[in-house]
Amino acid sequence: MSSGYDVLSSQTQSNTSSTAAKPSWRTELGGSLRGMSYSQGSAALSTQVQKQEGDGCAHEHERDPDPGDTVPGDLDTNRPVGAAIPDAIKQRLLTELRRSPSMVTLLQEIADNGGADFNIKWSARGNFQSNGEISLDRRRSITRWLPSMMHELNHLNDHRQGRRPNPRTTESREEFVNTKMGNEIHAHAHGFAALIEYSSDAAATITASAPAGYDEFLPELRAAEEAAGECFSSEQIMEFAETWLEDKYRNEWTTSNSGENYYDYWGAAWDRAHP
Amino acid sequence: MSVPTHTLVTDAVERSGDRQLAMLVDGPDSYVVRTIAADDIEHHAIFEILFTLTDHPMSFLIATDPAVTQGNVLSGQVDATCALLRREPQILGGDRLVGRFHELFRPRAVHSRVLPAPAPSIARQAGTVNLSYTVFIEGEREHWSVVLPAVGKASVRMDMAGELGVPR
Repeated sequence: MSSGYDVLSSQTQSNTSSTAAKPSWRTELGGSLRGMSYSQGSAALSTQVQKQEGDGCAHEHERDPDPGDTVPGDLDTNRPVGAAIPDAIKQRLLTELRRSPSMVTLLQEIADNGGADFNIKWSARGNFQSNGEISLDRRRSITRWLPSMMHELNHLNDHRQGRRPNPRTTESREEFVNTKMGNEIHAHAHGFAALIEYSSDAAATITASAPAGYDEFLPELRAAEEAAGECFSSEQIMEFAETWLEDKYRNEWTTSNSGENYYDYWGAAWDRAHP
Repeated sequence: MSVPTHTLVTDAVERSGDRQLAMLVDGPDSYVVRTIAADDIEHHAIFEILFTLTDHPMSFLIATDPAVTQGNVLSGQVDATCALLRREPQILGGDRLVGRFHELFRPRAVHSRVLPAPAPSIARQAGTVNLSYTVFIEGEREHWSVVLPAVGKASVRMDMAGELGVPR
């Protein structure tokens, strides 16, 4: 993990009407992730994709504070671990997620495989999906939950469709590890692509923290697009991201709990389940 | 060395009052156990309970008696961590205490590490040990203040960006 701070910027297009000043966007990097993993789906960087003050989106500045914008002081009272998050926050997250076309597709796939509703609970640490429920870190705010939801919804979809491997019942070590990591890389890559889609939507209202590795990924994506002479589609971004992320998970990033290579970690978990 | 039974694990989790762990330890098939080698721990055995059904690597530490008959959750449990350290005076009185405390106590679902600057401090007075150090966690800095008394309840205060204090 690096504590170094860098700055990068990116520009995306505006879809505002001709009567309003076009919003400008910026990406701020408050940290970098070299050597660290995606931590429980939590956005581990403070990179933020946000609209600048005075960017012409006056309606946003007039909006009352929305739920989830701040962290309450008494977490045990306001966000008890295991309790459902307030419906207002859940609905706000879903509304914002639907600004990403690929998230709309994913939410529909989830709905088609067990229903549109699912539980979102408060977690003491980290954002994750377990047994069809998503847990959000109560110590964070909506800026981090949004990109985490983009990631964890993929895991929810895997759960709904029975694609999450169990080390005890998966006969092949290789199959277990590759499925586990394939799911994670896909979720992570979709998180990147969905965030790019979201940040391109002029109606987006949340200043989103970037998921792990996004600061390194984005310039490399832009360079690849420049080399190709085209802007990649979301499908192309996903494909590029999956290749990029697999290299990171295989060769650079380590687990938060044990500091191991991810593939070694899950392989060892399979070994322990088959003594 | 024997490993903790499922009953020992669930009893330890129940005693900890950690509802999040209780939800994740819902059966012996939901985790595997790893022995943690710790040469400086003389009076306990340390085990890592690694969840296998979560999508991301998640785990927590348990300390047991050497015979592995009963145990307590350490991760996120400052009183249990303090109780262990009281029985391991070579750690409690040593100069590596900050790093050892952090490793035993830290939440293992997210990346965190003790930053070298500002320099961590250890203050010992009348049997109480106070730790003060900065943690890089989830891409942010937090200042942790730890009180490890000789008797009574221990505490950790985590100040996020110097603004929000979250007593634990």
